[in-house]
Amino acid sequence: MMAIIRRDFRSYFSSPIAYVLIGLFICIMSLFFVDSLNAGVAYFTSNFISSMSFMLLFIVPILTMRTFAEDKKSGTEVLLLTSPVRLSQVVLGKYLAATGVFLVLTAASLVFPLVLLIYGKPDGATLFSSYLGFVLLGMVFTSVGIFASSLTENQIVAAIISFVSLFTLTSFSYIGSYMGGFIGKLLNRLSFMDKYYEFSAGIIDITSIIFMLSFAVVFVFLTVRILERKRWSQG
Amino acid sequence: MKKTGLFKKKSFRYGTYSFVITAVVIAIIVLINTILGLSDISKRLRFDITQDKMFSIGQQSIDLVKGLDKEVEIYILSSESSYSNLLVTEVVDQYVVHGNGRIIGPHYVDLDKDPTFISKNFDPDQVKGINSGDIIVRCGNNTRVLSNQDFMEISYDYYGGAYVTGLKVEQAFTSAIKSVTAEKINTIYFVSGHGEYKSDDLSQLRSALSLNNYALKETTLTVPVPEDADVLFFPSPTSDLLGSELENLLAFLERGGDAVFLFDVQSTIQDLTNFNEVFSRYNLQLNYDLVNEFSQANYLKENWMIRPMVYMSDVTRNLNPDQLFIYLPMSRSISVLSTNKDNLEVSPLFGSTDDSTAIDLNTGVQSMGPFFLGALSQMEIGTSNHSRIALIGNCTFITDTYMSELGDNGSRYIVSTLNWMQERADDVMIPAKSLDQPPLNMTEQSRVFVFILLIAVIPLVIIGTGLFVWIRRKSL
Repeated sequence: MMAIIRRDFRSYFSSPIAYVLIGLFICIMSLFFVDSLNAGVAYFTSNFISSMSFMLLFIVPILTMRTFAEDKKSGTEVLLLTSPVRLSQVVLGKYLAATGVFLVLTAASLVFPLVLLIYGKPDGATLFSSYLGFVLLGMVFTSVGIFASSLTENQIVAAIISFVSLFTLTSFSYIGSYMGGFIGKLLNRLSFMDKYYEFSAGIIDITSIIFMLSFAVVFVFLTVRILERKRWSQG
Repeated sequence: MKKTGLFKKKSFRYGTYSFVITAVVIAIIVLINTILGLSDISKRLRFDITQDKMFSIGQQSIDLVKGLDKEVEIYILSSESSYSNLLVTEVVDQYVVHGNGRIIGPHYVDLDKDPTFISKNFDPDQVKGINSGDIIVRCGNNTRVLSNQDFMEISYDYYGGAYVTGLKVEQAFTSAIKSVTAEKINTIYFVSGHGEYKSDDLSQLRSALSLNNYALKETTLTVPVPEDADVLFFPSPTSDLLGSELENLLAFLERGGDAVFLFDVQSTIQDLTNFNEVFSRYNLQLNYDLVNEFSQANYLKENWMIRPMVYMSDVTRNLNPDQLFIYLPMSRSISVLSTNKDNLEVSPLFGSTDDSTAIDLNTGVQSMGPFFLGALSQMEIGTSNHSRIALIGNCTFITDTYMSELGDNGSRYIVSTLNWMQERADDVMIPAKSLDQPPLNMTEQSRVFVFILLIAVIPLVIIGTGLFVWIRRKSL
């Protein structure tokens, strides 16, 4: 599995896509970081925090759309599906490679708290929990992106499915408050954004961590099932 | 035959197996999350790691709820899915966690869906003016309503603009819980009939008193003071007591009642003989004058806008006068009489400096300070009872108009005075949690430098590296 992680992780950085995504992410987030600079306060504004998650809606589909389609294009898909490595290891390896790229992006974004630390005394614990929430959100989004990529051979279609799915997931809270009742309550419980905002506010909720990780596990598992089905249907 | 063939098909068997295993895995994960999501468990697995513990409650509140022997219910008048005040829900959860099952809730009630909920379940007098989004704290028949305003500490800028400086969610809830579970709530009667300020002029003070568990009522002194009265509050009477009113007031004080007297400077000469008759019993005297302060550190712009010296007493001990400063606009002085009375203890509250003067508005004679601008007096009645009064030569400083411009610290002194009178030394003194954010110490130059670095230099370096790697690989 390590070989798959290494291979996929390297492939992201052997094309300009990861660099461009990270560069654009830093550039666009800087526009929102100006709020903190102009206000002269050593903390992330709510605008900055919500923009970080909003950016993931675009970044993750682009990052994950090629996960399985790329293998099909390069002809390595058959090798992977017929290799002695278990399919679950293949999927997990690809998921961890994509998550690794996301973590590199997250690490690059640490320039923002670094500025706050150099010029002020921010609440370090809250910054930490903000980033914990961001990483968990990224892991959930990546699992959905990988799943979407396994559904189709077309990268663009995979990106669109991924974006629509993530957009729907992030709208749970809004839809829930509109619907009310049991469904509203359920959607609120499932809302990743509410959980992310709680982390950003400085609340570490163990149940939220477990929930987000298990959500990622479910989508990685579903991806395995989809590919298993493909393997069986191909004989 | 066909059916048997279908079951024998490899893809069907695989499909069934795949479906079952998927369902089982998802069911296990849902089950784990459902168990963890049970409110009793999930509330204990949340940790507030903010520097100022914004979402936590202090030991004072924890001790209060741990010691409760009655159930307290908390209702949030909103649907759960649309209620978004994280601070309130987190703090309420903390009370529930520490309450050993005595704090129940929060129950979400959507008034749009259940418009009769209030009328069916609550005494309409106790929930007057309630709105959607408000919170009800109830214990038995006692009810307290909290609105968003009760959760905010508001300050005012130089031009009168209001802004939120702190959050007092914990203070509001602890006060409310203490209030609804209290065996007896102290009642303050606002006295009218002598040109006093009206309720509308003192709404901020009244709100602060309610938050500190005082029941507020109105009365005149033409009738005997009601039995449930603990304190009489005189917000700047401009005319004197009638003989019968004096008798009713003295009867109340003699049975151990307390009173707060606040007097503004009078524009016309008014004989306050009967009031002074009451004060003289407590070795105090209200003067008909106007005090001006000339010590630069003790006035604001005008000599009559006095920042008084605050004397250390049981009233001010829990406050921090150095930070909790007040300005008294146009004050009159209070004299402490030297009559020797064993059962009296007089202590100054506010004062002016040696550099102050007082002009007698009757004679025009000017005298030099220092002067007392407020004083406290306690009279022992028998061996186990006492009557306490506070006399302050200003009332404007607790009016809405004034507090909107120069802050509401005055109401804190009044609350503390009342707590002293009612011997509520252990009362709720939970400070508001400041919303001040740590500053960034940047020059304009460094701000521009950082901005260019973040928006252009770092992204270009990253993208440039990517292009370099890509071109190099292509040319290999």
